[in-house]
Amino acid sequence: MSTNNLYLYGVSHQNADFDLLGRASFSVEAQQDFSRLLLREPHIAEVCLLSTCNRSEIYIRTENERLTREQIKTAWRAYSPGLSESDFSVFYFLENGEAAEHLFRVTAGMDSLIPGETEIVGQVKEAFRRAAEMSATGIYLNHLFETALQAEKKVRTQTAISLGAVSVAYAAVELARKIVRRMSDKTALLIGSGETGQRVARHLRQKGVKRILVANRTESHARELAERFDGEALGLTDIDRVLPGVDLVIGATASPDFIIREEQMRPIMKVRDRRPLIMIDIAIPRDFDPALGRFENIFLHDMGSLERIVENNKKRRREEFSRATQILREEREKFLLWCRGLELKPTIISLRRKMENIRHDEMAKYRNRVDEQHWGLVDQITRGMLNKILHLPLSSLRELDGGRDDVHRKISLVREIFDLREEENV
Amino acid sequence: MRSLLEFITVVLPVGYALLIWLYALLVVNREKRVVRLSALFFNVLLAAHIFYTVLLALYKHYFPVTTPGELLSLSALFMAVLYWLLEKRLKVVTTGMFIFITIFFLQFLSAFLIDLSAPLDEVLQEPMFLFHVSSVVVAYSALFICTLFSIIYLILYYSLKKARFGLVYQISFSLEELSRFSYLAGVIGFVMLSVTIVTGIIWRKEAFPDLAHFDPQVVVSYLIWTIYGIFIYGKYRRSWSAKKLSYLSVGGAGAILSSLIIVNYILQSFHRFG
Repeated sequence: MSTNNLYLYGVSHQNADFDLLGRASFSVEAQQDFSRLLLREPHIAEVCLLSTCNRSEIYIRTENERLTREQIKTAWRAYSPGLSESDFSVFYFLENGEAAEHLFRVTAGMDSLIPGETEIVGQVKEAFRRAAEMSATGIYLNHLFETALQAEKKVRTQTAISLGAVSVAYAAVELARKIVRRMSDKTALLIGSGETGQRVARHLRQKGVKRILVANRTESHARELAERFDGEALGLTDIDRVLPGVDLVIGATASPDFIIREEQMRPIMKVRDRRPLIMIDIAIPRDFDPALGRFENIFLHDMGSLERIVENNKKRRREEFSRATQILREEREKFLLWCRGLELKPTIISLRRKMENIRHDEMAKYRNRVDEQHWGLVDQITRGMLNKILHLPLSSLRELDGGRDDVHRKISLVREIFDLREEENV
Repeated sequence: MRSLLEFITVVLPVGYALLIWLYALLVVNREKRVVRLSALFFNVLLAAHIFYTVLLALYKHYFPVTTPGELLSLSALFMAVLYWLLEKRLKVVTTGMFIFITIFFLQFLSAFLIDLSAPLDEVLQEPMFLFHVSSVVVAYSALFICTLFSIIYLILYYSLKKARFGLVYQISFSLEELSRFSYLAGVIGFVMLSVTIVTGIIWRKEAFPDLAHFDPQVVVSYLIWTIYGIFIYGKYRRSWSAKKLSYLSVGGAGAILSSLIIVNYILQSFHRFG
């Protein structure tokens, strides 16, 4: 009897530090080499390795054999001598349904450092593509990974697991879009060259902001940055001149003093005539005078605000986990049902073939006694009878609502009753 | 026809209650089939509401705007139509829930108050009167939407100023859009209220030439007209901020509410219903 066993052995950021994750990770070439090595084992049928900066996991399918944690650990240790015996104490070992559900959770971003992040989907796709390309996967792991990717889509569209910004830079853009509708007619001013400021500018460019101005103490540096964002370079002294026409200002300098003060903005706000100005201060110490927030049409936000948005969004995403888990559990059940069907198929084929052979043999005995005209009718009648007789046992076999052991028990029983032992390899 | 009308009278509030649930679901579930189902259900319900209004008109042989039940149903219909147009334009569905809660209550009350056998005074069948009442329904519905968006504007404005990122921050569209559509609804409301006042004066002179001029409803209507006149003047001529205009609009809504309470429960007015 053919049985499929799925194993997952791995380590992730949930239970290991980045040093261990680094030592446990595989390069692309190493993933291929290790997969080939594992596939040389006679009982290992399929393998897929998922190795990212946050996790290293091996998915293995075996036929008719059960693997133990020790067996996989030994293979991994032989391949990665940098890992000590104690390192493996934090590795996890999951089987069948649990292993499948774990992959579904990982793909849906529920096991990621940032809940609901989507980068992992690309990484899972890539790992699966590489394994499939080197023929390390077959019908079983192909179906497992395809189900994982479909389940991820379902979770993402049916829950709010990936809604809302989870990076400070994107939170700034999200915040700006709560004030102004379209970015395509807006001008942004980036002051300074801080990393987060640059990320905000990059997001704004992606959102189609019309114009990006980059102001820096060093003009050459400003020019360099402006080129990067397809913007215009300015000196710090030009800020007052451009502020009346700007819609969004990002402060990202290392200046110890305020770059924009309240008294400096008074005449500018009169010229702006109630047009809202979004000021995002991501510099430490601050670039913008906190008193600027008193102006009716200035929306001043600092790192604290942005971090609060990010935290709220992360919390909201986590709140969606229970709904997402429910969806993934349903997908897991469908997958397990498919697996049982896969195990059942050879028995059904064997049974049908055996019965069909009996029918043929019996009919052959009467071939000379029945004329051509009635032969077709006899064939039709016996075929119909056979189908009706087989209907009950086959329906009972296909009722896979029981557990895995129940399925195996049913298969064994049918094989024994109908003496299908000789026809194992169909 | 009567049993069909009675059936739709019950179905409509139930339909709007279902629509609230569907739109609440849209806040967290952006699955295409849920979005499509909500849009389809909204379209079907809107068509059913229009069909109901036409059927009611055919059954009663006049445009159904003469009893409180009819007026409430027509207000609900107009709000639904206005929101439908807005949704098509903005493509933001998360605020629909607020509108549908209001529509549901109007339709629910209408279902209780509507009387299919009520006889109609001849004077209420005059075209000028029907035009007068229809325009007031449009005016008040538009002003209600203007107020609703103004309230959301103010909540979002203070959320952004005080860095409080709660539910309204999550589901609302931008301040810019809120102020634009609140203003648009305000202008529609003001124009239709102007039409209401003019038609009211003409019809009253024709139908009740001897009636005294003082009517609390009319006085409050003038007050509302003045508030929304200032609203438009402030926006165009004085470039008032959206925040100031929102406060004014909320004040206008307060006046509408006071009007309804004063006229229907405190003063014996010419306009009193029932």
